[in-house]
Amino acid sequence: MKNKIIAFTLLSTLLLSQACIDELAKVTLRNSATYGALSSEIGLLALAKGGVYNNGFGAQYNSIDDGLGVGFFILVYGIHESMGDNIYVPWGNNNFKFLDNPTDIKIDNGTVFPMPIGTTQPFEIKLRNDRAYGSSNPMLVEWTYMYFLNNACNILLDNVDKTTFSGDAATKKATVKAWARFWKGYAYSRLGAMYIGGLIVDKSNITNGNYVTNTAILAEAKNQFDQSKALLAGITNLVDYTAVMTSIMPSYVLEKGIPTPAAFIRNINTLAARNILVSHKVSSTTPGPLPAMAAADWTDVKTLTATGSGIAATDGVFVTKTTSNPNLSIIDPFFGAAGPYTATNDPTFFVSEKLVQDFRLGDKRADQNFSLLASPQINRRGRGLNFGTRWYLEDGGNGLTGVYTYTHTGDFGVDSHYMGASYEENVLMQAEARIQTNDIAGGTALIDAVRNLQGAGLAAIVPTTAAAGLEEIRSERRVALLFRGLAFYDSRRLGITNDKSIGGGRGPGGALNVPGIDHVDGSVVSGAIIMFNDGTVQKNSFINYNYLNFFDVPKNELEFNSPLTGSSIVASPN
Amino acid sequence: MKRLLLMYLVMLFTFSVQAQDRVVSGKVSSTEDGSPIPGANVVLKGSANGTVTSADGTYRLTVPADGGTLVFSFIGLTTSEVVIGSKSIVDISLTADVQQLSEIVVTGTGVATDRRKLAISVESVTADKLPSTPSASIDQALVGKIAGAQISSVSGSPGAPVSIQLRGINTLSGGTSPLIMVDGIQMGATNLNQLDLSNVERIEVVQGASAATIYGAQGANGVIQIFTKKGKAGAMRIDVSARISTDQLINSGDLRQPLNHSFKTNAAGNIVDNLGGELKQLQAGIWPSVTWENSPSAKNDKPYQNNTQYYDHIKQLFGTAKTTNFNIGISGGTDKSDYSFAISKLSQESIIQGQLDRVNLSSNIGITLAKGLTLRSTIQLVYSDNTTNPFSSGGGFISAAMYTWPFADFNQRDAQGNTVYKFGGAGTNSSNPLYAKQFQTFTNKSIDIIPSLNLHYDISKVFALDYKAGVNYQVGSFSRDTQNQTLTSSYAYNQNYYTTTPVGQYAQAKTNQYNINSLVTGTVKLDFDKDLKLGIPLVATTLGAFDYRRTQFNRNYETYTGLPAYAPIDQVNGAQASSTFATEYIDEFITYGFLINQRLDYKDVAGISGGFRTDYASTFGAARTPFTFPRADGYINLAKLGVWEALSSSLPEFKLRAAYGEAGIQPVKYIGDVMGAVPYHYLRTTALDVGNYGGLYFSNQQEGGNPQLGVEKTKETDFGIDVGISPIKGSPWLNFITGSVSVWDRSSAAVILPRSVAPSNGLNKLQDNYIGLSSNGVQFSLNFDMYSGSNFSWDFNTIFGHSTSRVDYTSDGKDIPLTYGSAATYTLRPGETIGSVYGYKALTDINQTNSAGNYYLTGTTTAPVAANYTYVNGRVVELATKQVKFTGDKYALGNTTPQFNMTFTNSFTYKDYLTFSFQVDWVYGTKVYNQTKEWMYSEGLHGDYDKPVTIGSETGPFTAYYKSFYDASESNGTKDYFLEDASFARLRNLSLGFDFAKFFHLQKINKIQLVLTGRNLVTITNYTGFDPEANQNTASGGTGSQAPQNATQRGLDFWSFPNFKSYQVGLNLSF
Repeated sequence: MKNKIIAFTLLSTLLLSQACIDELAKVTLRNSATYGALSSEIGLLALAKGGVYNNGFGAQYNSIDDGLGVGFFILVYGIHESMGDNIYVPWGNNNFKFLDNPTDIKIDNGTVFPMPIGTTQPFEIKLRNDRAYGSSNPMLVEWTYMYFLNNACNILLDNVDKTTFSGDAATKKATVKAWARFWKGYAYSRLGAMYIGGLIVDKSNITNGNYVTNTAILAEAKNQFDQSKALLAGITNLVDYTAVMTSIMPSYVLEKGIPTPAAFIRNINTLAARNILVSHKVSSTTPGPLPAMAAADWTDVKTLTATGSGIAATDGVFVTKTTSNPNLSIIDPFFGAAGPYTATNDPTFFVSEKLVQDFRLGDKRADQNFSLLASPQINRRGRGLNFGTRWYLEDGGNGLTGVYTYTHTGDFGVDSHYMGASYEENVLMQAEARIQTNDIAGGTALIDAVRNLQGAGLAAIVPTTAAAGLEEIRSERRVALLFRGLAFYDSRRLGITNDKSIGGGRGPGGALNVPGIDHVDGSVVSGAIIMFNDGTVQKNSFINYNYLNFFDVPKNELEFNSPLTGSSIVASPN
Repeated sequence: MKRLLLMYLVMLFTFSVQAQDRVVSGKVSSTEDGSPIPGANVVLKGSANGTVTSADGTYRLTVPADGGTLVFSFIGLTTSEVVIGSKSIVDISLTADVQQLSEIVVTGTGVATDRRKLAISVESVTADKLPSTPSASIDQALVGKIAGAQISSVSGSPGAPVSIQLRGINTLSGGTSPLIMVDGIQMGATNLNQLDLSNVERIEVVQGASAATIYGAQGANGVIQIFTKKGKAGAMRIDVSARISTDQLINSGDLRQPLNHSFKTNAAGNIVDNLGGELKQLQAGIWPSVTWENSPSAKNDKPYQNNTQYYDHIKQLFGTAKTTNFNIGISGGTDKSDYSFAISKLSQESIIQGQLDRVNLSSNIGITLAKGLTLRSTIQLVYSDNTTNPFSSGGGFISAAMYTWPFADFNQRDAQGNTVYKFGGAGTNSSNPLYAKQFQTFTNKSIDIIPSLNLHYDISKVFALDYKAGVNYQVGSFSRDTQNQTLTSSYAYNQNYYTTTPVGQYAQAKTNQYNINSLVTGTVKLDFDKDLKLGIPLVATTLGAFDYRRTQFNRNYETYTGLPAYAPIDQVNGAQASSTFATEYIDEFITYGFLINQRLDYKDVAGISGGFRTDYASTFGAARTPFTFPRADGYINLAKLGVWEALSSSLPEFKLRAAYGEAGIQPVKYIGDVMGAVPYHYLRTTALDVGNYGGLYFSNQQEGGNPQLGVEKTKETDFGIDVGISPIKGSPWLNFITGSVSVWDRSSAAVILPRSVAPSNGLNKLQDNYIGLSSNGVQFSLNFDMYSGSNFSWDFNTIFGHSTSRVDYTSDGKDIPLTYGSAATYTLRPGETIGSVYGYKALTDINQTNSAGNYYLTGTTTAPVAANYTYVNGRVVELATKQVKFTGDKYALGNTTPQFNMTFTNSFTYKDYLTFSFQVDWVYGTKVYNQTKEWMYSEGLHGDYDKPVTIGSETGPFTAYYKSFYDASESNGTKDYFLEDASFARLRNLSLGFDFAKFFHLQKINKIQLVLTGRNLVTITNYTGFDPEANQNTASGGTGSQAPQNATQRGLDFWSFPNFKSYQVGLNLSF
């Protein structure tokens, strides 16, 4: 019996010895890194990569996941491309059905059809800018991505000087700082171009209540860009610069290689030019509340995008791609961006007739990229006449060699999803600035250059008037820069998205009233193409988009971060 | 002198006893089956003289010459007294105690306590009261058995857990699932529904914190204790049973797609495509687009014909399933040991796809090692293999089927004999669930072992030590095999099944998880009268315990992408894939705690107890500060006070009880995963995840960790009355009624929920002790021994539960909107009930105004023109558009929490061979948001579109009228129209048994019983969906994942997997 008591006591002692507070402390998160990882070079550079590519572009945030499929290249570009009427999205997810729904549409016989499911886009999306709408608040999406990107960069900047680097620490630190400043500038660029106001947040994980105007946000973008450029300009040790950039930019996000410090600066210049262009309307006669481009602005654009200043044809630029190992990509290798979402004949996003009609007759890019649906889409789900099309985006193209193809679903690494600016954008901005500063031939020659680059197979433009040249710019930007997130900016600065009462809209009497091509039969159409309920193709329609020029600050922000006294307005008046 | 006197007296006494000695012997057996009862107490009344029956039920006892009275007692059986008189042999058979009052209740780590002395509310169900459900699962069997608990079968998919909510909602992150203990040891890795129902002896449910304090920081959701079968001393007993059932879809609301359509047609009445040609299917199953006419004049009254036949998608999706279940049990024992072995096998088909196979092996062996020292070893082994598609159980298949217009044929095959994936113009989400069935297979296999050892040592009458140690280990292997589809015609037509990838993928996940539970308990039981000779009938029980638990969860994921197209999937392995990807996930949690409890009982009249438990845990913040939970309770049995002596024969029990206790919930959340939820115990830490591409980033959820996070604490007060009445004496009618009522009130502070923060912080959410909740409720159970005659008996039992839960506060005072994708909006708002749904109301008067005083119909202060509107079913409809009008602003539309749950169970026995029982569950005052219906309204896919309505002077099935319910105010917005009364009464169980062995008085065979059982046969409800009970909503939102049931968005039918009704034949043999 004694033995048993002893055994029992031993057992109990053993048990008691199992437990101690030290043991509790050993239970730590092992599935993820924590802030401690940033003290090492490799950890900091990993955040420089992931914080930008994933937090800024790839992450699927619960707060904005409305079940459609998320990621910056789907949602944010989807919003821009659909509001620019390159595509349409009829679904209720993220309230797309209101985001890209015109206020009214006049068909050929003069009958006007108002939006069937609501009043106007500004009213409906402002109504849904509410925490109660959860992830379907359409104004929350871009704000979230860009402030998360900004915060990741703030954490980088907070930690970079505490991190131990090997080799030329000064160069490495400068490279990381330039990288972080660049992406902060990028985030402020997008925020300032889309929201009525915003916040300048320089601290990690903590915000402030000083709301400033979008002009001030764009000024801060320039400030960050300038700091980045200054850092890059000071880098002489290219070995250590390249070492850092190679670990931040993996091979499969490269388009023409890692940008050299000089090419990096040129990328920044092109984006800086974009910021000027998209925050102004084209001219003082353009409808809409944006300030008009002044002569000095055109000069700035011209300077920033000039050869040697803006992105060169051989410069590395900022994109993401998919890889043959799908698990290495920040986006879904098949349907991770707006382009693939529009591809296939049963797509989630649909090709807009207004996009196709803007291709010039004979442009091989139209033949390459679009095919007719087995039967057209008409007024999808009864949500409006603009939700109809005869076209779909051909995945991988129709087999024309040497012709630019927008999307290759699942064809790893072929498509470049542009985060920043591209060479074509730089050239077309230079072209536009030249035409606006009376170098019409110089401008159209550059348009031709872009067309040739993309294999359009079009004859060179014969320079005539500035207006004709600018129309070629408009058309070419739409075609050459499709799915690069610029469509709404262009529609807005051309005054098209404004209400018809102030001269907005597309079609007879609107801000944009140009002939287009019905690529089904090659005929010239005078107005906007609309698929009408009875199946007829209306070719002289007028679309009164009447979209908000700037989004309001999302209520999700305001409710937890009230504007301090002296803040600028946080709701867009128009 | 004194000593001498004493010695003399002792001798005299001894002499006198010896002088009058004689021996009585006999046998104690069971009235039920005549089997001997070993271990029964036989005591000479009024003396300490007694014995215990041996293995064959026999006893011998020395008694005085003049006899006296023998008292025979055994746990669970009625105590009997027999006057010895001149008899030398006294045989007796004891009957089961219908009063159920003498039942022993063992409360986990606590001391085994007679139910009559319990001050807390513990529900107890014995095996014979648990129905043999087709799923053979304990959780299904518990539906309708626990007073006050909301236990509902929210999904009919094999292996899907039932939703268990004991006493309100007190936590939000980890679901409301209670702590599960098997034979006193926590079961942390194995699901309750994997245990073998046939091996259960008894289940006890401790519902609230007042009783769960002894479980400390993990007890706040209540505790379910399973006690497995033990062998009884005596001859070997063999029980065999075999059951087979056929299971069919429950469609109590007659949900279907409309039989007619309102597509644009040609003169012949055939549907035309958008170009005006007659609609014909194209290659690869693709249909051209059609024009759905929904103008005010359009009617949904055109028949499907010619090219476009009507296919019943519900019939094409759901089939009849078969379930079989076999059990063998062998048990027996001697007076020194007992054993019980059982094996069972279940095969359950899903009514949509896949099958669950489960094999359980159990053993339970008890050995008396020495006097007072016993060792018990139990081992349970579970093998399960589930091939149901988690997406089908999550609603994906149902939504695909319902969202395709009826002219698409799911059974269509292409030239190669493959099903087609998409139907093009035949509806928005027109994918074919049968395609997924063909090209994607799932296997989810697991082996669970649950061994435990219990060493119990009664060192003396006063002092006992008990040590329990148990491990619950699970190893699971999950695979999702998607065939390479690049050679199919669907792929050629750019229609690949891209849930994974068209080039084929093997996704495997291997799970290892265990929890270890080790528990030492010491009890000191001092009887002031017997042990201390103080003459006071007071018993003091002191309990001290140390409880250690450790869990580890480990899952390895491997994905092989790019499989060859040439082989069937089962001939391809990962080595042939073009790329491989692997990750590992680990979760770990350690806690330990001390429990001290002091109890004082005065006879069986009154008692009080008090104590506390202190817990340490790896989740308790950087300082590892322990949390302490106090408790106290007391009872008084008025019927035993003596003053009611006259009444005591008809009112043997009238006990008042009260209890107070606190318990906790650890900071934890569950991450949804197709192969089952993944626990995450690191809410304190801000995570930087490694992205697929090797970069660090802030983890998916954008939830900041909070080092200050503490345990959630809940406090409960529970008052109750337990009553036993014998209303009618000397009649077979109403011999006995027992009843128990509990009223409880609890509040939870510091409930964890990630709180919203401004996105410009770089975070969306911050883990925080953010919310206060409170709940209260009342529950009762009543048992009637309606009739006990010589040939016939009738038992009637009813249970009732009502509870509500409210949000008391959020620490920043803000509402918490709970939205997920395209589902109804719930909101947690301080001061309001959990489960409140917010949305738009249909106008019932054209002159209704909004808060600004404007008319809803005009948006201004100008009154609407009455002539433009009419009323249909009380709702305002605009004549010109035929659209129903709704408010433009949101209101609280109602609550999905039931007003009460009630169950009625009747059992009848005729002679000893015929049994009949039925159970009716009644859930009253519950609402369900019929999101399925709203989605089906969006494109004319719901059967309602066939129903004519009269709008003004016109009558017809107007498409625009029905469509407006979806579109109005906010398309797919939450609307009162879809928040339906989902009260229901369900004939849960109906069972008829006939025992041939008893009928033919067979000797060596105890039982040959044929049992016919029906489950869920009848449902009475006004709910218009498949099943008012099926509303599985998981913690990650929506229905698509396998995370635990969401505490706050209950009552949402979003493509829910309906339950099934079953007809079962069973044969039970016992030797």
